[in-house]
Amino acid sequence: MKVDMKKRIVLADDHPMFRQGLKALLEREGFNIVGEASNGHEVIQMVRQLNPLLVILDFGMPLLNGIDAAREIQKRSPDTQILLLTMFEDDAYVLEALRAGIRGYVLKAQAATDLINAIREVLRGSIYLSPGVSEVVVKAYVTKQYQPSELLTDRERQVLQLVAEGNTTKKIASLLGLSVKTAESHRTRIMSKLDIHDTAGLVRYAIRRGLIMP
Amino acid sequence: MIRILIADDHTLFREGVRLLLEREGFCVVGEAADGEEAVRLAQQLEVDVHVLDFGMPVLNGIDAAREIRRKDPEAKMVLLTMYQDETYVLEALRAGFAGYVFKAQTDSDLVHTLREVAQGALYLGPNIPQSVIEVLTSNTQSAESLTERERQVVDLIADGKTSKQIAQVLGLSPKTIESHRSRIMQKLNFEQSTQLVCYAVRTQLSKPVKRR
Repeated sequence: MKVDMKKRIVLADDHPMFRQGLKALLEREGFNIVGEASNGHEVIQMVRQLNPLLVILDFGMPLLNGIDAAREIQKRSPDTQILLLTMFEDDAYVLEALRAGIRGYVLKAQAATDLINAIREVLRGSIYLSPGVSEVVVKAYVTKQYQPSELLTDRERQVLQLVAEGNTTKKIASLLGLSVKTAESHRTRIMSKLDIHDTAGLVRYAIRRGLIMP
Repeated sequence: MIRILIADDHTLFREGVRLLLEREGFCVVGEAADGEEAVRLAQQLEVDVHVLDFGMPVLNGIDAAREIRRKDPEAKMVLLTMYQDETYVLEALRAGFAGYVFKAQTDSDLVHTLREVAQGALYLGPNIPQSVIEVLTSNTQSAESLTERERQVVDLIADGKTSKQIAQVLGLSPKTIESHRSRIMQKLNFEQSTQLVCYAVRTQLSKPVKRR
């Protein structure tokens, strides 16, 4: 197996078995997997330390989802290209992903050859959006009617994810480095914005948006 | 050489697992992207162990397993899933699975399970919830499964109904619904109501659907 030191990649997905399979597939193609992370916070740190050419992020990860992790990575490690892997075909987050600095958007239902293709394109500076998904973007551009599908701010979405994962407000505050009072007011604001007034409703909303797995 | 059929709707995952298994000397004879395809391929191919994902379109892994078993009562099957709830593990065992692997485990856990199951063993790895063992070793298996009323409550929770609304739908008092809820939580070993909501949504998603 020939390993090209230039093709350094970090992988982030919360399922080790998926990560191992992906690693094996990419190594066969000569990529060098230099780090593996299992949540959004971990991958931000790892990318900063290892400074890889590319990071592959799963969308649905605990603690911090792939898109919000991408935003941080773009800020802190602007030289690293970002590719998102997701299960969701009609994802309302495609435009959000592009704005977060993601340059490749690949579905888990696609084949390994598609992913490898996407990686090569992204490393060349292109944007790769999987078939199906690209329509959303084109349509939004053509009609210019795109309304941000997300009412929530980045911070609010992070809080929402943590609430839906079953964390207490105190835990959320400490995970995000906020005061309990601030976390509490984020929560109240989320509920009023979404017009959802119970935790169960927030959990279902987060599931629908793909922020957490049911 | 152990012949394997892999069924999972994520091609990327399937291809990765295939490569890992082939490196370990398994022979992957077929790949299916949904439960129906798995049932069809299981009939056409010579398979030693079927590896089925739980959440697949058209037909989920547990219902696909029942079909495969109906046509071949000797079929050996391993379930691959993200969920560790004991109800799923028990449901899988009832459907005829001889092994259960969580996607949060590693490829060597999968390899180990496949080798054991291929030899005819029933193999549940170290990650199996203790409660499953308790249920399996006691004679009161049905005692801990949900009653019909409790399942109705779970369904309505998945629909987003509040306890008050559930009470109205079922013609019961909100207080009774609250006690059903806490009994369900207790039976399923849940500590937080978010776990119950996730469980309810998941149960609804896993109901047999014929078409997407």
